[in-house]
Amino acid sequence: MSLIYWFADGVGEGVNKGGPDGQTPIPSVMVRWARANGSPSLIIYGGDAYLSGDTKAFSEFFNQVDGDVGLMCETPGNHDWKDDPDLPGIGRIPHGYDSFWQQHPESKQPIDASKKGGARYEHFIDLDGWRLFFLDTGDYDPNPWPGGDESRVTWLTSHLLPGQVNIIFAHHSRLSRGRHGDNDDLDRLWRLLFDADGTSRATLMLGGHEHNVSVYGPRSQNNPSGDSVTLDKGIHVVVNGAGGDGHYSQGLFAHGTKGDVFNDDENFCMTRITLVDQRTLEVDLLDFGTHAKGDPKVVPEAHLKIQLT
Amino acid sequence: MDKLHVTQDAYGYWMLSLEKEDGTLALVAHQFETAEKVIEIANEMVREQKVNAILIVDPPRSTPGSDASEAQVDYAKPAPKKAGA
Repeated sequence: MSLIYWFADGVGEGVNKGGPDGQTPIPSVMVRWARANGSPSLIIYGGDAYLSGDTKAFSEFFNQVDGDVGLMCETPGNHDWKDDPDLPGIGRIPHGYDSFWQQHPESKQPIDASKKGGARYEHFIDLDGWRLFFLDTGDYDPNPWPGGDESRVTWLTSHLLPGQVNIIFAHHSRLSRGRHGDNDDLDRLWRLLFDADGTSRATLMLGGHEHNVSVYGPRSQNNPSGDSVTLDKGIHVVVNGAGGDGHYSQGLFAHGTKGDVFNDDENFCMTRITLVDQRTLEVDLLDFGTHAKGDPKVVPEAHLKIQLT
Repeated sequence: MDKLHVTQDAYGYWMLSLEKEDGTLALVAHQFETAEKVIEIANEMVREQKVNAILIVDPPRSTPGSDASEAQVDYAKPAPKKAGA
């Protein structure tokens, strides 16, 4: 059994503080709790080092995780891609992100310097019979995935394991509810996670970007914003961008699809994935409240138990 | 034209509210430590989401830290609010 933790949209400059003293950055509280109490195999930061993913932002991030990224990787976010000077011979990259993770080979975040753009950061980890894919959607606005690089499509589709034992992590989610709403430009990626007959090739897609929490039942290839379907024809979508920055409302005038399992736009949260065995996983929401003053509570309404046949 | 209001809540956190032409007011974002990020969000909405709105920003009143003890006790998502109110 392995435990994986996800938080997103909450490190760098100007993020909220809390903890028992009221002055501890929220991401520090979360990561410390996971390390001390959660037996993590992996801690995923879902992207965005504020304000603009530069060296200063990543230096702050490093301090906020107590100078230890040994169990961590990061799916790049749009704020990380704001630091993107053209570098000769390499092309457009998120400079601060790229430099930071290259300096930390002890982490779980590889950089393939032989590639260009987001392909440099995309990788997978095999754990307990599951394959975890980490994709870079950070350049979404000017260059949605795959950013004109068809080799990324080939890489993803050729590495999906048979069946549904694939899990996708990326900063942007196909569905979300808030000031951003659904990311329709990820539809190509979404469709690649299904066979031609609509059979799902993944169980779960986890993202952030929207600063709140939404949990969806299995959504279909052709109508992801519609009703949930059976697991063999759908993929659960979990959005958790409630990692330390301010929140986005899911109420009046919010865009996108509302979660049919659970929604929250008020609390700071981590998501925990428990790989129970090769056919079973559970997803829990760890709610640290509005100021992360103490231990989180597990939210029963947000719980998913996925059992593959 | 709609209005985007950047204001502070009772605890000093910055928030963004959208006021439609018909007077309907809704919360867009809340619990931000600084006004800078909220103003960026408002500008993104105008620039990228084509929200036809003017931006109204309240002058700073207090910092979240100055009211931290109170906010830690009973902070809750605020109601939307107009600048100058």
